[in-house]
Amino acid sequence: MKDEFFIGWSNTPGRQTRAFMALVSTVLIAGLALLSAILSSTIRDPGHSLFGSSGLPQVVQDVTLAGTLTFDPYPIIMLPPDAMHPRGHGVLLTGEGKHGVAFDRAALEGARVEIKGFLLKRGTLDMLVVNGSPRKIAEPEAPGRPQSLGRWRIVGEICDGKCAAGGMSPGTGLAHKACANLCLIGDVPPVFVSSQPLEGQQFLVIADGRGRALDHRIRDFLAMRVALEGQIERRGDMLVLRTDLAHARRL
Amino acid sequence: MTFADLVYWCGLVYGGLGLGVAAAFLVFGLDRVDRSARGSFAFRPLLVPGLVLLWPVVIANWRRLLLRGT
Amino acid sequence: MSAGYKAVSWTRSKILYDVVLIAGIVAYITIFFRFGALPGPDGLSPDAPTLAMKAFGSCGFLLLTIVLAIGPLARLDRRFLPLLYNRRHFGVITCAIAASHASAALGWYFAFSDLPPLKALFAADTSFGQVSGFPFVILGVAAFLILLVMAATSHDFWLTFLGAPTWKSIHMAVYGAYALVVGHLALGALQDARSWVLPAVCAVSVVTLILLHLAAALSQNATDACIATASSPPWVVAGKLSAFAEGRAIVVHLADAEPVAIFRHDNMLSAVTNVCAHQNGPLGEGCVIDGLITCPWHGFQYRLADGCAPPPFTERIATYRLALDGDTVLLDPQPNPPGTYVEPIRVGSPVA
Repeated sequence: MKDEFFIGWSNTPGRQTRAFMALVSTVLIAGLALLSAILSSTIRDPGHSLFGSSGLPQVVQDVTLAGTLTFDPYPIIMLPPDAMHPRGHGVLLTGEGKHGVAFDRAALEGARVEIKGFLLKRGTLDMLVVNGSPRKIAEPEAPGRPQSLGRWRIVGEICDGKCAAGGMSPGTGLAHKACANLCLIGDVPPVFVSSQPLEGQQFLVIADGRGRALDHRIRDFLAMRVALEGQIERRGDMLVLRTDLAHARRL
Repeated sequence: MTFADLVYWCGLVYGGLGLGVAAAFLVFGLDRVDRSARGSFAFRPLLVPGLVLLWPVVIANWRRLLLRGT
Repeated sequence: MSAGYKAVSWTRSKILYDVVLIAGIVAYITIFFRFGALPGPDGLSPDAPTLAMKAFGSCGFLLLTIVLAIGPLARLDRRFLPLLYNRRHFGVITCAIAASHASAALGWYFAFSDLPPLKALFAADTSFGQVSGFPFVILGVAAFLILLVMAATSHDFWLTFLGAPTWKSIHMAVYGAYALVVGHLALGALQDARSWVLPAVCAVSVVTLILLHLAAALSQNATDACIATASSPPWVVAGKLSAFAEGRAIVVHLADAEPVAIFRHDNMLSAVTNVCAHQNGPLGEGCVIDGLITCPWHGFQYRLADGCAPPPFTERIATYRLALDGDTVLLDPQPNPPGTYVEPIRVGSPVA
């Protein structure tokens, strides 16, 4: 069979060319459709993402929390004990978007306050996206002593608290490393997502060795499996890992 | 200045200069360096992204073609 | 006389080509959103921005794979040539899909902070010193810039303005873009892959492209092996007479010069440059129509004996001298000035 000559600019390719191109076109469209079905069906979401869903106004419900405000290592409101949380319940605080909260620390450290906002929840982790400023309802009191749980070596992933708490998906994993870094640059508190629950908790607050916020070096360890070592202490129902990032290892 | 600032501002300056070169080339250069462009106008906006991205090359070629023309 | 520029020189073939390609992309994206949004075994379904990033990203990668496969496929089987001749449209559309992926990521992962998204792109992740956890986004940005430069210089004007060698070297950078995209995937999405499908698709893409290019290079070498070998100076051996088909050409690849197309028509052989004066189209892939060499890209025509386009056109191409030694065709690799008359050599009895 003599091959047919095709000119790129021609309006009417020959019969053989038309037939072959019809075949190629069919294979292309069917192949893309099939690959799309296969690839898309393997996508898994690690958790409900509040901000990605179209029904944001419906799911967001404003709450008012009353408790003790602390700033180390990150802004946290400690709610008094109730039936569900006999030790009290710590809630991380953050602002809108990729911003933390900017409260007057000198005036509010240790004070009992009322804060409005909406809650992000994933597992045992709660984060309040604060709306407005906290209202002081009682003067600071002596802080409760944290309970030391000893020295631990734990494996898991450091994430921004907001997406780990269900703000945006995936919330964990390298794909959103830059996104999580931006949150941390904006002072959103990080959390440690442990691969094994520890004292019933999968999410831990992380601090430096002196119990304060971690510096920029944390960004080199974000969103991937890492092993961290340090003292773990319990504040209310929250676990806080005090770790020196110099000893952190990427796995 | 951080790495990001550097990249960002270099990008903005490069793009801004590129827009200037693109405008100048489309108005003063194109018809002189390529005869096929004379009387054709609809395709000119399509050249803008390339002119902005490759403006140093555009200036070099523009000069070379003008010198060859004279 | 020469054709003036148009925004896009549409023909029915090109419209059909684009329609098929866009239909494939629409099918891909629609199905991706439909299937991807279905809840998984845990009852959770991904959100729209995440789906958009994954849909456009994976689509762009597949399109890049296909567009890179077209070249070797066309060298292995001429029937794929029509895909090659409109490849620029394919490239521009691929760049648009990559732009959709980039804009989905910028508008979600890099938004909502104090930094402008384009600055956040470079500020958010600077762990360049590590392999696992390397800022894979930067690799995607670099690949996109290459695709953007290619799409932006795809108009005919750029080929003339930059000259064919520069233009071609810019467009060869597509291989660099593909390597960057593979790196972007390997250090990003594949690190988090929870199923074997995406790694498998990636591996098949890379292996297929390597094999196709190797096969095309081997078949090219098999053709080249019998040509362009030195004979008595200045002649080089162009091939056996029996290899020349009526109305078609054999392309002779020379060491440091443009390839030469040797056409057989009415049992006469004529040699011209393989490079069309219009847009450097491959004349040797063309054929003789109405006694004229016809370029497969845009149908530009040249006379066999002197390489001149028939009036009123003014394009001229270089011609070459040929000789016959028994059944071996010999070529003088020194080109004559464009439009020089060279008497075709007779290789058999004239066709009645």
